[in-house]
Amino acid sequence: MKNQITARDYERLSAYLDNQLDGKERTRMEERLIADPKLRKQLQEIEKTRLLLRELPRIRAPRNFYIRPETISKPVGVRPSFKLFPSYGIVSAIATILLVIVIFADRRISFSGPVAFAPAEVVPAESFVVEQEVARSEAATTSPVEAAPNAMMESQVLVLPTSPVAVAKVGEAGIATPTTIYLDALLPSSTPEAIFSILSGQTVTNTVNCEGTTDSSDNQRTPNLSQCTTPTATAMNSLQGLLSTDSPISSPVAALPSVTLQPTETPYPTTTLFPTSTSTLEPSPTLIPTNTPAITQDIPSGSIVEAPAIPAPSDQLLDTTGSAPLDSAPEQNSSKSPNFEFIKYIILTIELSLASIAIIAGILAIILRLRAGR
Amino acid sequence: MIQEAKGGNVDSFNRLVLAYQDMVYNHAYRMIGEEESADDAAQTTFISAYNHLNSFRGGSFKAWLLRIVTNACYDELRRRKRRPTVPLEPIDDTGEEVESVHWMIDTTDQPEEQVEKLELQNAIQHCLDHLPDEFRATVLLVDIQGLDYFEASRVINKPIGTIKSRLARARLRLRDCLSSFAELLPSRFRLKNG
Repeated sequence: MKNQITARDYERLSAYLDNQLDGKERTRMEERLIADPKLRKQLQEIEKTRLLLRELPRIRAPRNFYIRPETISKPVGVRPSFKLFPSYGIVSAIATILLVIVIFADRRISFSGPVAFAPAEVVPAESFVVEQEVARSEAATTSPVEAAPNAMMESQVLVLPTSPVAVAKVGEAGIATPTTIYLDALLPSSTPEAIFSILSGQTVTNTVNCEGTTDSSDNQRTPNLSQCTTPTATAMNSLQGLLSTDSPISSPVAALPSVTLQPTETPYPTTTLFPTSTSTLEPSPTLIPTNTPAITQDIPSGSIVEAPAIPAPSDQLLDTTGSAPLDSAPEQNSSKSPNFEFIKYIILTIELSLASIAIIAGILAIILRLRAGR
Repeated sequence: MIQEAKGGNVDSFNRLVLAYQDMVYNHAYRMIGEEESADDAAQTTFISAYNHLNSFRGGSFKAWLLRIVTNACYDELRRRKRRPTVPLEPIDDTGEEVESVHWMIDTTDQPEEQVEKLELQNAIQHCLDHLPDEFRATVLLVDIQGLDYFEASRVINKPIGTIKSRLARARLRLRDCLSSFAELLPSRFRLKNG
């Protein structure tokens, strides 16, 4: 077993033959060769093989391999591929700069996106609320102007404990609009699905409560209406549709805005915060408080004829102030929300492509430079 | 001469060609085992050497040329593997394919000693042809071109340990192959028989 010659032994024998073993290994090999005739025989055979190879005659070249100047178009030593390394470096640098720009732009879009698209998500839930109020107002034959305030006052007492987050934000923002609630949530992602998923708990609850109220058409369930606070563009469309007719139902509908926006009649903190909210919330582009002065301007008009123009503080009043058309913006945003996702994917693809180009071109530039320097 | 050639002097470079062309062609022939391909590889080697002369930073010009010709032979051998051709090996009287055209060389009018030498050379080339390319390159560089392990490792661009291993295995395979041509070997080269 010990006398068996391994591949490693053959390797050492071959190296010993070429005098490539160091002193220690060489001594050990010589000792083994003296003690092991089998190993000695192997060494002789390898030596004979090497001799056979060395005695092979050198074959002469069949012709001269001269270089003719006319056959060599390039000057000596010119390696065209190595000329490219500066261009690879430039490509890498440009790709890196573009990557930084795209990432910066992407960050900007990501931060501004959710705020701009917020109203579109809250509209459906709120439209139900306003419709409920309209329906309830229609059902109430006596004194519709006072019915709504009662409902609001009753609702607030019961709602405050159930939705603490919403109430707290209302107090801070100064107005209980859906936009304000959303801004406080301030999602990192602007996707409608994400927004809805976060607000769903509250929004669904609101909707269910309102529906429950509508289905039963029972005025005793009005406490739940406190969560259905702000009418929106969708609600305004329905309200305007109702107001355009000459039916007597128009008067209760027209009374609704005065109910929700009356500072003195509703215990909501929104009424007291209207004047101050304009200054405190201006930095945020989508905050509604910029529109609130219009509300306060319309409210004093007080007449039922002008009242229908008021009901939707979040959108119709914007038209009157001539500020950014937020009533149309939510609709556009809601239709563009999927496109925004698509744009994000495109940006991500561009980022990955630029990163790949930058890395590959950089590595090529380094390799070519190193090879050229040899 | 090398410095003059680097300066673009074609005549100086051609003097280098004249000095090394036998060595380059010989190595190419032993590597590929065919004259025409060896001719092409040698020509490619000198053209490439001329074009890349500025990358030669001193040291052994022979080793530098051997590196180029070895790579040219690898390219040729890879090209052959990608596009296998029908071998032009003849069939003998019994209908079996003669393995190598080397055996077809007419030696009738040559002295017996020369015939034996030629047959022995053919046998060795036959055994070399049946080695893996990497083993063949190593054994040619060390045993025929006379490079040491360090130079061979620079030519093949592998560590010395790889050279040792490949060389030992190549020699063992050659020994086994040549033992089947024992009758061709001179008595002093007879393997495994004494």
